Amino acid sequence: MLFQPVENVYLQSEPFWLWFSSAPVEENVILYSPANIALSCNLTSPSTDSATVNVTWKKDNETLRSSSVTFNETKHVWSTQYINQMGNYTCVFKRDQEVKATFHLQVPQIEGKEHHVVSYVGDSVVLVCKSIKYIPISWIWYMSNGSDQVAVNDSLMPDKYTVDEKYANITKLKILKISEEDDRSYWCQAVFKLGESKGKVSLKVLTYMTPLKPFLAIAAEVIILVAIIFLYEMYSKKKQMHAGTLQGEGSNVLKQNALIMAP
Amino acid sequence: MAAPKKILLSSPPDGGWGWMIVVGCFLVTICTRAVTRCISIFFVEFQTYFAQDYARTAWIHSIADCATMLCAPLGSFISNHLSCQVGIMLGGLLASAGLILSSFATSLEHLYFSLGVLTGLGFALCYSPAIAMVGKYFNKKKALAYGIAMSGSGIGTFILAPVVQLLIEQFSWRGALLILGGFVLNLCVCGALMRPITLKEDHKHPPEFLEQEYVSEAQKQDLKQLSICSPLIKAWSHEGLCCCSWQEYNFLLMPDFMVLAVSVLFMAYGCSPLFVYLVPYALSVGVSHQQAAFLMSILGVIDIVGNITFGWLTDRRCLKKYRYICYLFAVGMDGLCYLFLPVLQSFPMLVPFSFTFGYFDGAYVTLIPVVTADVVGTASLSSALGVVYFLHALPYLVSPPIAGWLVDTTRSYTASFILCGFSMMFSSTLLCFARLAKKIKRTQLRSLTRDTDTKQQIWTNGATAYSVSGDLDQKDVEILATEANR
Repeated sequence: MLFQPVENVYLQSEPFWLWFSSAPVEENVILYSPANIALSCNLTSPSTDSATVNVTWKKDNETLRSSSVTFNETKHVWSTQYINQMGNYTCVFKRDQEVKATFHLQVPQIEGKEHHVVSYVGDSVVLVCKSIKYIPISWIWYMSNGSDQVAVNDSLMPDKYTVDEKYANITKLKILKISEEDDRSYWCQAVFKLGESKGKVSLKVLTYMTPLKPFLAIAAEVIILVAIIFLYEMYSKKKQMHAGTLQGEGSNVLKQNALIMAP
Repeated sequence: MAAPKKILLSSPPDGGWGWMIVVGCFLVTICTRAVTRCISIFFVEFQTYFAQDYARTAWIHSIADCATMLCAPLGSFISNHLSCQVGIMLGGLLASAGLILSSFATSLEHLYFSLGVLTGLGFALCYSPAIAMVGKYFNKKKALAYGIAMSGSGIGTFILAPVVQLLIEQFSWRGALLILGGFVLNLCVCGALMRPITLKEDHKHPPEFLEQEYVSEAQKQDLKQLSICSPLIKAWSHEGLCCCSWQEYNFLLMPDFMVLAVSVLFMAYGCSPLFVYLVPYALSVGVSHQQAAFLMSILGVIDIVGNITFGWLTDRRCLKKYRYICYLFAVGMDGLCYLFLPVLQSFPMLVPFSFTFGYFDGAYVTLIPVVTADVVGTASLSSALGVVYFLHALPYLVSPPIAGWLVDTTRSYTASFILCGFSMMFSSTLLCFARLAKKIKRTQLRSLTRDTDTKQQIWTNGATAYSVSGDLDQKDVEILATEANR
């Protein structure tokens, strides 16, 4: 669910429809910038008895408010909570059983790259992080140093690191003159109005010998096959010539006789 | 008694070593067409590394395709005058060198040259000679042999695409290009397989006749009469070579061939953008990445099925006479599919499209060499194929960028797909009208001869002549012989 940044308007979330036998429901609500949001839970009951139900709203396990509501004619119980902060909000309905629904309010998540990026010693590489739908205010790059995360300072080492921010929702870290030490993980952090989120990209550094071995193996296979095919061709040609010589001699004898006999 | 250096065969073997030739041609198609299609997988990497946009990177593919087709006549020329084996091995070394050089690229222009021009040239030296070789070894099972040989592009794309993706993930694009260069070296193996064969109907190879010391005088005279290069056999000088080369391209003036050439231009214009724009179009209508990749795989696999089944079908005796019609039917169906494409806006509707388009794409690709052979004959097949593939070059180069420009200006894929659809349908209707016109002309001539009782000569195939009415008597043979010697 996405909420547009409009002020002084209460945006209604899609209500969760619950009934007492249902399992706990959860939903991620992505909040891009501050907004007032109304979260709704709706409880349905098949039974016609007008029982009272306890409704509790919690934020991160702290109770915000609690009340008792009775079923109306349409057998629904509505409850709405108005919020404007990040966190995990839960609505709990209790009669004899308990049923709840949780809204996880969070900033947009950044996805890094699952597989590591491969590069070679002496080469350069570009690490990319994207935030597709939401535009962050700024990006910060970190690299892992043992178990810490150290900020990548591109102004201090301009001939090693360059950060390209041509588009606001894509950030590219270019690492030049790669060495074996650059084989580590990098994090791109996107800063939003309501918080930050990180994506991970890891770099793997190889030497030129690594792809050279399969290449030499294939080249050797090609040379061997070509040699075998040419040897077989020479062998079968010799066989043909041998058979052809015998045949040729025979047919020439026949033709000579034919010429002699023709007028 | 001197032993004969080469043994003349009266008809193509239709088997035996021919099947090894088919295997060789199959590998050549994998190493050339499939590798060219897989180059687009590198584009995302090139864009990120060189910080360029999609349009500039896409030129690599266009240049490679164009160079492969543009230099196809050069490939036929080298294989005709040196040897098929030498030509293909040279092409393999060149293409491999191009790919290896690309792995050390420092700029996009470097890639235009090494991956575009050099590799494209290398592929050109391999592609049409290999296909012509298959035509020489097969007669009755020609279309089936071609079907199996050309199915390499579909199977190759299907297998190579995930393999190339894996190589890029393991070794990055530099390592992947190096290993791909090694893979393309296998073209040398294919070249070694292409043992030369000479057929008696091959009038355009005078050196072979000189070596036939055991051929009787009478036979030699006959062959000399019907050979177009006969006055020049004695003087095997440099002039003779040039004149013979011009005689090799005699088929260019045949009206049948000219019609085929124009239709090939329009067909090549229509068929190339689909492979470039199907995935972006699918993504734009809401299909996911995996489903779009699956559409391309379907295209590749059904391509193979179309290759082999259509090849087998058109080899059946009942359909053999109608190969031309099958070809134009396949091209027309592809054009029709294009016209429906803008209406298909969801994945369940795009799947049958992929099936149909892929099947008929495989079908007509198999029939191109067969139809060309039917028009020009086996003797000039190598050169004719060179010219036919040469005509693919310019449309392959300009069609994707034009389609991309249309997409950018009209903000939808409809205009470009409809243009391609009409282009292919025009190609098909042109062939249809040409065939109809020929039939009408023939029936007119037949009615004329019946009225006036004169003997007409109608040339087919450029090398052999048939008389329409009456039996061929001695006088007619002399007339034909003198016409041939002109």
